Amino acid sequence: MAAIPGDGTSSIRDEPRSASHAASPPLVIGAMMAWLAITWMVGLRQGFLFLVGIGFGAILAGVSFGFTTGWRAWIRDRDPTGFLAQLLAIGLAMLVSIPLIAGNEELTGAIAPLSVSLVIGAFVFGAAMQIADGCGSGTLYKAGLGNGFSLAVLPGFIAGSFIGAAHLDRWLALGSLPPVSLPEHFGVGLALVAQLAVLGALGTWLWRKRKRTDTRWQGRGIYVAAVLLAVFAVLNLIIAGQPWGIVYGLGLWGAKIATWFGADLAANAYWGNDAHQVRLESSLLTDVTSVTNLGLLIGALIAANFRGRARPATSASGKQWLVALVTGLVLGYSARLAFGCNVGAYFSGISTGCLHGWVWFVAAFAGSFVGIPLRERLGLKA
Amino acid sequence: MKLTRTAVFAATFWVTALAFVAIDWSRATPHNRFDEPPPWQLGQDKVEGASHCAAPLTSAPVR
Repeated sequence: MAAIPGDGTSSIRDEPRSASHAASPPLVIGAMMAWLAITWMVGLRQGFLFLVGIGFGAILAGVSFGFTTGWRAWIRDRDPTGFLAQLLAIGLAMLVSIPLIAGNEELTGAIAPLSVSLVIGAFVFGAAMQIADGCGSGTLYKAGLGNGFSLAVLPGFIAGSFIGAAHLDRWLALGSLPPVSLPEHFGVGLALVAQLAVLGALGTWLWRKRKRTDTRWQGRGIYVAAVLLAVFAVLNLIIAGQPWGIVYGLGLWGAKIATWFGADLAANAYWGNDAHQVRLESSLLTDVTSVTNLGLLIGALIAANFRGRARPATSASGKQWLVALVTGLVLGYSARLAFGCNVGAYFSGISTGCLHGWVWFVAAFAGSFVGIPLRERLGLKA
Repeated sequence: MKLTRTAVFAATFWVTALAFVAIDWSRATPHNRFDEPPPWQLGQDKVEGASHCAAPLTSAPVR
């Protein structure tokens, strides 16, 4: 079976390449028009961020750079390729991001507290993302490609993110330590050396434990993509003033829909916060995370069309559709408890030197060991 | 062109997404084009209000 961008399900198949190639020029023109419209309507910054989002989507879909699949390929087959590419991307982004943030107070990292909710949320997210075969970015862009399973996951993900954020104060009441920024605690140099050492040691261990396998990522493309992902992550930081994130945008979309149906969120501990109220009242096009999410969707669609893999046929049983809906809800809810998904917490947390990124990684990776057998038990074998 | 179920899914998704953005735009506070942030944050005054998944409920001291 040919690889689907960012996934590994046997229930999803590619269609002939020739069918999709013809759609690429209109898509590129459409993306350019969307960029012009966003720039005209909400400004240059949001326009640039939309382009950055297109870059993220094109990279992820262009080489099937899946965070979820990278972990699963190593856990199940001891194929380290995807996992090593993730570490490379994080390490490269970190080498630029940490000094940039340290030297420019207008830039902020993905700084989150070390809470009980972080450990629980990340563990559950790690398990659920294996069942759903996609993290925040993976679910988003596969839905844009028309993957039915991800389309079923996405509404739950949006609702879960909204509800999880709304309940965050109760979860934080279970216990929480203040955020720990490694560069602020140990200095930029030591933080960089320590994190590089851990990433390097982890990469070496993954490589030593590898087994001979037909990896889904052939050639150097996945590593080129890792370098490009790091470049775009730094661009996101420079333009937005904050690192790349996904889940806040999804929760915001859910909160907006809730308010359209009459929900009053002004009294809620999270959504009632002044900053979030402003976001709720403003267009989502003015929100940093939402506009990169939209760009990611379009970028993935363009890249998948270029590869001829834009319309993965989907077949699933009724039970599996139900699983998709419930898993989406769990993914969104747990991501909010954990202060982000693979992107906002794992990638951006570690690459900006926040300890919560490492805690997230350990808990979510442990969760994946639970999620992979569960996925197979539910008939969603890769 | 044969219309597959996946093509219908994809088309439905994109129509829904566009409708969502359009409805949101119509309901949102009108955007003030004279109060836009600079094109990039680096080297500019800090813009408050940007939100990230990692942002807690309130600004907590960083250790």
